[in-house]
Amino acid sequence: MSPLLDIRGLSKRHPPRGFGRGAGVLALDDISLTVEAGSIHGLVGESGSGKSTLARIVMGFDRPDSGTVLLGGVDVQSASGEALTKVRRQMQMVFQDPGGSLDPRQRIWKTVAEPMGLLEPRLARLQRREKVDALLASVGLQPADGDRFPHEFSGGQRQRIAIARALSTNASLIIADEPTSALDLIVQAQVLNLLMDLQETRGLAILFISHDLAVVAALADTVSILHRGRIVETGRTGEVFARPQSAVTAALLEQDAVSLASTDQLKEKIHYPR
Amino acid sequence: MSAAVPSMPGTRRFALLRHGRLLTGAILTGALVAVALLSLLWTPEVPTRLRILAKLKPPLSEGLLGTDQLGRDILSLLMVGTANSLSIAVAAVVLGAATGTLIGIVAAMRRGALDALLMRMMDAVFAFPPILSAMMLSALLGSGRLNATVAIGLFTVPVFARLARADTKRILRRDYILAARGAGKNAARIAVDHVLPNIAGAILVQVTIQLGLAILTESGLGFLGLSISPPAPSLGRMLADAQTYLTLAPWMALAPGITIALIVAGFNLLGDGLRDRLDVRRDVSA
Repeated sequence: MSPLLDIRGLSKRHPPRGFGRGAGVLALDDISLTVEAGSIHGLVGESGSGKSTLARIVMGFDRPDSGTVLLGGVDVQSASGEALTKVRRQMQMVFQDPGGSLDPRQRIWKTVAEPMGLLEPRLARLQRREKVDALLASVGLQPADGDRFPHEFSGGQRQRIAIARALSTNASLIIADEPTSALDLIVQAQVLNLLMDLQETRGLAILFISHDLAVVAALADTVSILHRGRIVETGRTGEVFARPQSAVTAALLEQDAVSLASTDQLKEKIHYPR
Repeated sequence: MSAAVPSMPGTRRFALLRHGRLLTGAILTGALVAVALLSLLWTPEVPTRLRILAKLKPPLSEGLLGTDQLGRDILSLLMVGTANSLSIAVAAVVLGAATGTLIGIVAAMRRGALDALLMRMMDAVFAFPPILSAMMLSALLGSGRLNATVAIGLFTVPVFARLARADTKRILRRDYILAARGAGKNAARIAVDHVLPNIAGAILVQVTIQLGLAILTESGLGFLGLSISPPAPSLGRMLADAQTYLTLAPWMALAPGITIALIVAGFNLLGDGLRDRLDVRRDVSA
């Protein structure tokens, strides 16, 4: 079976700063990775390793210099019209900072309903609202919350709202770019819990981008380690973390030994269904 | 008891002062607008009626604020003049704000060559003082209400274009813009749904402040005879008429002078107050 998301040979060079001398920074260097339907793939790397650049290209917000992104066999970069709508419907993103990813002047229900235009452009207001209420309930919020504004919610609640928005098109793939790094530990566990529940019940695939090995170890089925724009190692999470093949992975694990020890604590907070 | 919270009384007085600014501005502007509206229905005298026998009478001896060199009732002139000045200022600023905001948003969202072109055009417009552009326009169109409105409006366009462009650029960096793109919205929808609501507060504050400036400019144009045509009264021309009789009849200058100052102060206070009220940072970053 072909993978849901298939990234092939992706390269991206950021333009040089200042007066255009030099070749710029190679943000992504020949990246290839796949995400199977219904599975969680962790993408790990320290800051500056190109994680967010990759997310932006996969979502089609930026163009790569070379390489292709296939979602369900459709090329994301060259898709247009009906095909693009279908791609966007299938793939939604959860951003790092829920403070910045929700429009402060828009009521929550409108934010959550925003991607529904991809599904049924002429859906009546009342029907949209009904769908939003169901989505809010599925992420643990009240239907009445839909009439409130983002600043009335806590960070964890805001991230739940962002997740509800990402779910509103019944997407089969969620790109989550450090969705919990702006949250404190307990809230972090709650949001991760929610993501895992949704993955189970809806058969979602998640490309989970993080710098936190503990979180990835607890969550992901497979993992890729990104270092300076290159993937240095990829494989099943347990195997990679138990027997790292690359020096970079080993160094990351060593660095994060303290944090990995807390994986067990995190796993206790996450109910960890498998 | 109060020793536990020593800063409380001061803080409260300060808060009162801040809210007081909005309130004072609103009352002042409201009162002057009310007077202007009243002048459409009623004035103590017909403002253009000449009574040479009762010329240059001091306040209270003939009418509430006296008469001018042609015996016209100054209070009536003042009321109609305020209405004329306000209507020109409001029309000019609304025109300038709408055009400027549109230009600013388009420049910020399209970027590149169009951005550069539009903003250099704004620089060029901004380089001419409004009095000068009004004089050039009157050479083309002749003086009058329309001429003054266009000249003042033209001058406010770059102010709003720059403000809208800077704020739009700030908004476009937010993740909710990416989310909207991911939701399939095109640039026009994003501008209407996300950009405009998020810059509206700053635009409104600027509208209020520009209204004060527009009144001042309109008076300057009226003083030079470049605004609304006689015999329709205007605050600026009342000042110009008063100049000759400054030592003989100082009330002729004081009445329009104080009125202009009150309008400008009212709009500035209102703008400052609104800024304090609206600039609460609602987009809380976690």
